[in-house]
Amino acid sequence: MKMFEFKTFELAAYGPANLFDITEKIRDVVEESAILNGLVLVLSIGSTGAVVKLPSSSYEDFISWVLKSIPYDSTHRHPGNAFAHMRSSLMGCDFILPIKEGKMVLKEQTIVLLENTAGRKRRRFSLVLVGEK
Amino acid sequence: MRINFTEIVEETKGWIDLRDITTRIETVVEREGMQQGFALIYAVEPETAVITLEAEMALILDMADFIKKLVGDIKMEARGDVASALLGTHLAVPVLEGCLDLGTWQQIMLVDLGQAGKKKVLLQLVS
Repeated sequence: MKMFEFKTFELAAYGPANLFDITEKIRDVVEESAILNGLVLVLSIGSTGAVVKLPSSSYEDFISWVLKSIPYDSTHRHPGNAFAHMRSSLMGCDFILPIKEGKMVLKEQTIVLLENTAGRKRRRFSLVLVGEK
Repeated sequence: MRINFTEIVEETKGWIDLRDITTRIETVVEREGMQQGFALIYAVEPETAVITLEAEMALILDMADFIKKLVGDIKMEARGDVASALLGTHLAVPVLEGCLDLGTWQQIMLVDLGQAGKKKVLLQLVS
């Protein structure tokens, strides 16, 4: 039987370049779901929070690359947060994980939000689970 | 479960042209009477990318500069392909109560990184 589930959760995040592990929040949604095999789409709402898959051992290197390659500065035409948009558009705000036998397929890695807002941000995530029982 | 395919065709100016296709997608969602599910926006052709971005004029210019810098060291013939691989060639957006679940300053952009002309994007609605 094919079905959809729609979930949402929020996170108190802050930037301009911090990683927040959202793996457990997604895992909770997947494990509560009746879906056995399918996928979960996760979208971070607003266009300045990127979602990527990364092992925690690489967090520091990832942030170093971000700070070096797309620095937090205001040398652009768009007021204030052009750098935040560049990072998020490059990395993507959406992520899709397969669900297999009731569990998300994720091996030795985490799903993280890269929060690019300079300051506090209440970041909302919209999830769609699709699959069969 | 219902699956609908619609081709969205945009006339582009070529390297680098960022075009807001959010409204065109919303129109299809409405036309198909879609209430809940997700929309997959997929760049079918080479040298095209699909991203989210705030569709603000100055930011679009900043983004074009950023893309040029990203692939500046790569030979001209390969730039479009490498840039599209870096930016991403698909995007998936939840649809709730007949609307795309996006932020206020979060639009869907087609990025043309190739030659000017008609570029196709495939919209797959799953509900």
